[in-house]
Amino acid sequence: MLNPFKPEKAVIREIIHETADTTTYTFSFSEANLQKGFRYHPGQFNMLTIFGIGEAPISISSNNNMDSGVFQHTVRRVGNVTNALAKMKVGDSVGIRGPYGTGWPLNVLEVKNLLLVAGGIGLAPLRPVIQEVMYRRQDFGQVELLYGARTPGELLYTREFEQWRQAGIIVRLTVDAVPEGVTWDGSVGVVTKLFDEMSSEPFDTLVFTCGPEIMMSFVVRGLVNRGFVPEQIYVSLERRMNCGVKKCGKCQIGPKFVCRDGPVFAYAELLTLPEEVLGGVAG
Amino acid sequence: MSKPKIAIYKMSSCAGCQLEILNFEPMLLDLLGAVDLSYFVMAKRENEEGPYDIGLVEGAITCGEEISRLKKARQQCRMLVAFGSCACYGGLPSIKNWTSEREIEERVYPQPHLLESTTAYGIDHYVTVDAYLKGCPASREELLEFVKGVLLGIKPYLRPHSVCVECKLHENVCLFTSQGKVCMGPVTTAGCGALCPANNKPCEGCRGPANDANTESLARTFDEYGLHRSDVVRLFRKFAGMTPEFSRGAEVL
Amino acid sequence: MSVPVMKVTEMKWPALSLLDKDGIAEFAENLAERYLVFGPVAKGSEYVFAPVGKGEVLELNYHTTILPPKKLLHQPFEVLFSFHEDGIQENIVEQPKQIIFGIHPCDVHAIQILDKAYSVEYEDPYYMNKRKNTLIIALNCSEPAETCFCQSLGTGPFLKDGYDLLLTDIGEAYLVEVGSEAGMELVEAVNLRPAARVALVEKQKVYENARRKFRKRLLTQGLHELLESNFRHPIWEKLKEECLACGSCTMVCPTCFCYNVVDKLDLSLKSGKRTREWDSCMLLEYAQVALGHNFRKDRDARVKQRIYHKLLYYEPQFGTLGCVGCGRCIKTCVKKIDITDVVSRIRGE
Repeated sequence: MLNPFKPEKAVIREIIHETADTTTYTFSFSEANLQKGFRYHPGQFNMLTIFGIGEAPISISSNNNMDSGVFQHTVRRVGNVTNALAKMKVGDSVGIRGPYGTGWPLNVLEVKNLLLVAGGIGLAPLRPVIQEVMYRRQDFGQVELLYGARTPGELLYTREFEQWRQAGIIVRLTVDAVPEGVTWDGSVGVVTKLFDEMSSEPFDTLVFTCGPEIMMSFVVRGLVNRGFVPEQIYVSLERRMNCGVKKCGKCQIGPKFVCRDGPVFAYAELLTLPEEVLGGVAG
Repeated sequence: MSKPKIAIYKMSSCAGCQLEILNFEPMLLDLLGAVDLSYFVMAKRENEEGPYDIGLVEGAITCGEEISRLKKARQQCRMLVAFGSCACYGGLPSIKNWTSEREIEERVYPQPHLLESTTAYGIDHYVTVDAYLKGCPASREELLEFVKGVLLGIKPYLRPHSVCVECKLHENVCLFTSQGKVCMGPVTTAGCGALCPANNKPCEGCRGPANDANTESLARTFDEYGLHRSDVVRLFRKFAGMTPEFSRGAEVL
Repeated sequence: MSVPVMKVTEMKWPALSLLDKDGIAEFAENLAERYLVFGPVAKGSEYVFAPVGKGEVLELNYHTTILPPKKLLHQPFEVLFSFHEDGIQENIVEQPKQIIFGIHPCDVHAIQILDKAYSVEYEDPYYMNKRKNTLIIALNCSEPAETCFCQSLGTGPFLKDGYDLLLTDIGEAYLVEVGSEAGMELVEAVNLRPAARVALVEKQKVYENARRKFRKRLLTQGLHELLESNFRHPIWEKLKEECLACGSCTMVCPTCFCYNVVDKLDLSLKSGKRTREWDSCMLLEYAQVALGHNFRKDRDARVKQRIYHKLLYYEPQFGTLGCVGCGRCIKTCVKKIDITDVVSRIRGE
């Protein structure tokens, strides 16, 4: 019987330090066949095991189309698993199972214009969307990224911004605060502040947002106030997960399993749930 | 990390928690393979000087001399652990805290003028504490989990929920609902394997408040079961009366 | 899993038989020679499902057990796999055939719900491995306990399908009905008296009698709308004050499936086990994520989660209500919080 709880061995191929507490790891499965068959959509996640420490859901920050026999996770040190991972080096192995969850509706819905709103580590599951746009740029119209972090030093993937801009993606940045001695010519304030200068408009646009839940609740509210409707806004939620396959029950919100029905949800769908998500609730 | 050095300090206590380390028996050698018990007066004649990686402090702090020894221990140890409920919350010694110091001293000692006892507190009243290992005595299994956590540099999994969870996992008969015996299990931290209820004795709350302990509600149920107010107070003050949760339970009626 | 045969049952296995009450012990012993047999036995003042070696310890007049027989399929503690430097060893062993003897209709229904939960989209191999090797000898309820309300949910007191054998206490003996090929083999292996079809009339009498004995009920009519429109009902604030958040109600629930996963490392730090154990949405830490944010920090949110999950969310998830009316959560609650009472209070009764 196939065991969905059994992690497969994956080896760390490369480590890129993004910020003081966040790192991008490049992995490949030890078994070549597994790696070959590993296909995933932007927005999906893996369960990452450090044997003896535990397992945690981590979004995939790379894109299948760029497949060079590897996949990436961008991980912030917040708990036991991520702290243990931070101590590992190239050549060490972890356990991986996945991919799980729905992902962004890139292949499901006809997408023209894209507005991406990210906060902090929330950019990780959106990076594969940006890579998808760059891979087939002609399929998309205007694509705009609004990205906020606490300080300039905490912005992820800064080395890639130029490439994104060259692909015609509008990149707008903001930080909560600029520490002394740091030069910053971008905006200062929460990510919703960028709404005032953004180019995106509701017509023919899908919004994808990921970040702290409190940030997303301001994002959805701010967008609705600007004429966007809940049906065009997609959010990626974080919940506790022990299985990723609808068994352990932890991630449930109303009848939804975030691990399987999500982690990406249409905001409109969340509004139908009795339990309050992102400040919205049925009725 | 190389073998961490462990020091064991005794404050006002019965020494039952340190005895638990010796009670490890079959595991003791494995434990010694992983750590150095550098300072363990109960078990060794020759003890090493500090500094140490981990200090396990047993007992409540009940006098000035202990306060200064505790502060020294804090300086000597990279991590300081409240080892057992006395060190966590004041434990059994804290039952004296609701009577005047002089009355207690006179009741216990023939020459009370020779001592100067203070309110019994857990050690975090005086120093920063890195971890709490609850219980009377502290649990060997949890100590082991803690040591492994230190070796790995992670936060160990120590049960945060009520004793009821473990009672049910082991399918014990519920003494409370089946036999009408009042039990502190619903508000007390598990991790003991529900040892007392499994042996037909209601939980006495030795491990202190569980996550989200609703002690006021439990106290009201004790009242409905016909417990005298003073008995309810005693139940909540036996081990952890100094914690906000158990203190609310003691005072609600 | 023995395939439950429904309407066809009577045509395919028309034979009804009788099992004398003093023959129960022998029957169980006979089964125990070929199967691991679990049945209700006394534990202090309560009952538990335990191995039945000698049939005489079977207590078929039990009302309910502390834990549901779910524990034989989804164990309170379970090792998923062990790991060491060379790899992983899955803990999926060849499962001995087991029989759950004397299981009540509510608990059979609960297992049918778990079957869905543990097989939907991804099969849980640990559960399914045990489930496929489990036979069910059910026992219709003739004496519901005061906490029972299965009748309101259509999950009892009598069982219609989902059994290999079905027993009904019709007075001088148990009427035995066959529900599957595997059940047929069980009765063929022992000598049972054939029963006349008139025994079904006796069975009906026992049923009518049992039906009248229920003291609790949970009206399901319009339940969805009722709950959906009462998420802010003042009762939740009251339950927040009362509930001890001890988790007992969920620990004894036959349809709760949540679990927590913990890695247990040996002191060598080189090998260990990944284990799981039952978890509960009533516990504070359940919905807490790594950075400490808790999605159900307030007790009323957790009380609601339990009741809404059972009565509202199971249906879209698994096509059935999540409560079978076994009454365990009511019986085990120190605060006497009663799901049937909660619903009637919301209804304003």
